[in-house]
Amino acid sequence: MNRVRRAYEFAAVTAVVAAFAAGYLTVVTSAPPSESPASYWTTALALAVPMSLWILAALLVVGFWWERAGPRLSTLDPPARLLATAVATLPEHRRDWGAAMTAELGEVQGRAARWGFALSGARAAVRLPHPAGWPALAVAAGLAAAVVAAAGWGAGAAVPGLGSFTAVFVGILGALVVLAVARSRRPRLPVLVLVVKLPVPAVTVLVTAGVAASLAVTVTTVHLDLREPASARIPSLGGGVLLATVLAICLWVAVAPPRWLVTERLPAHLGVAGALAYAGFFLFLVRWPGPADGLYLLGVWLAPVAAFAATGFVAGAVRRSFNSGVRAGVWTTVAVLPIGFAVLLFEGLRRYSIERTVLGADAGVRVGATLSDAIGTVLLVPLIGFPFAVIGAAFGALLPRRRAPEVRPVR
Amino acid sequence: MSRTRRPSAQTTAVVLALAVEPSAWRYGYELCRELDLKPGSLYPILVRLADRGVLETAWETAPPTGRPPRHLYRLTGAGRTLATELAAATPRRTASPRRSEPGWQGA
Repeated sequence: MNRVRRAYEFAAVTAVVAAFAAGYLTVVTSAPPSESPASYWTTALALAVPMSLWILAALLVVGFWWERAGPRLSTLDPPARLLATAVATLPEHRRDWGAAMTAELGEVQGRAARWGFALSGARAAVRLPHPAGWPALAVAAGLAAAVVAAAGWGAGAAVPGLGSFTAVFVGILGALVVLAVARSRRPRLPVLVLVVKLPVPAVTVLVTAGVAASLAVTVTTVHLDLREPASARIPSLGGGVLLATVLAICLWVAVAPPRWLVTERLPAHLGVAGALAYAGFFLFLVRWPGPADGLYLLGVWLAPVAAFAATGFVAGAVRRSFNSGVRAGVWTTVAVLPIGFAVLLFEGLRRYSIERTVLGADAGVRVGATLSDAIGTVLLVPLIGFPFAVIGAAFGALLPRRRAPEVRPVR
Repeated sequence: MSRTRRPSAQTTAVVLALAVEPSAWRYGYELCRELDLKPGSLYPILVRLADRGVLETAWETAPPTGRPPRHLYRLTGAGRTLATELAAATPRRTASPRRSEPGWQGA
């Protein structure tokens, strides 16, 4: 096998293992001191299953990408690969300058000189001047910082416990707006541009509604929890930051998706369908009269697998394209997180009002536990499901191509 | 009220180097070597000059087989005017900026 391809595969696997190791350490270090050592092994084993799936997905992504880009990359030396990677990050209107540097590298002779040119060119790629100059970026950054401070202070004063959550949510959106201004040809607010581009795509409407609903049920839960005696702070700092980050990124991707996600409509439609199917199936399970708890756990594990695998496979098969299947997996993630969270938390609150417990827990817990439960459950959905979208995409893309209809000569 | 910033020494050097033969197309690497500038410094200057309409750019039309076309640069009319002003303002300055990190140029 090609040595360069092996290096990319090694890097992909290392990244997955490092991410799961970081997650494991976070879980272990935040566990109460009363936890037994055996529970650490249980946690490690529980994480090993999704980690294996993510490693498989990463290897598939590298493999399919290599089929397309490998022949060109094999002809490049390491400095050329470095420069090619750096200039690939340039915004559309600066791509010519990246191509210019790449072409000039072809004229540079000598290993040290090529490394010098590539490193310096890569530095140039990340600091090419903005057409409107730095003042526009400074104004955008200043506005974003002021809005973050005001939102955090205002939310913290109105609903104690939501200050950091709101500051992180608005802060990430503000940072993404500044980044968009930095990469645009002219300073503009992508949100306003999208509003002008009617009709707004269905995925944008649904994800925005999902984020709004998630914020509403989160505020309601915190408000209800504050009424209970000896109330601890919910959401916890970590949980609040995690939830705010996830919701902000999903909202941003839905409103101003990166170019590679919007080259076709089918994956976005399939993503919405997958998210709605997951939410609908979950509601069916928890509201179905009878011994639902076992089915609920089954649904939590199997529904994401089915939703993601189906969307990835269908998109991959229709287009016979691995990339289409992966795009469908990304859209499913973006849609299922806010929509799923809103449904999970709403259902948790409804059940708590009836039974004074959260799904899958003993009675007697506080209403705030529904929030932690919903955050933990909804994050499991893409963690388990996304690799199946990649696997489904691979199967769909590898289906035999449809034959073109034979054209018979007219006599 | 408009404010005109004086170009940096490196920008001045690039403009004056391009003004030596105003009608000739120049390559980026060629300018790097001539002015002893790293591409990390030269290309942002070229981008800024092009954004301000001082620099005209084009792609090589008939590159040799197996090599991508190179990007070419020369001054526009406004660029030549600017070069004249800069040359008058800095009569003793040579087209060689401060050398910051030597040793990267190739053969």
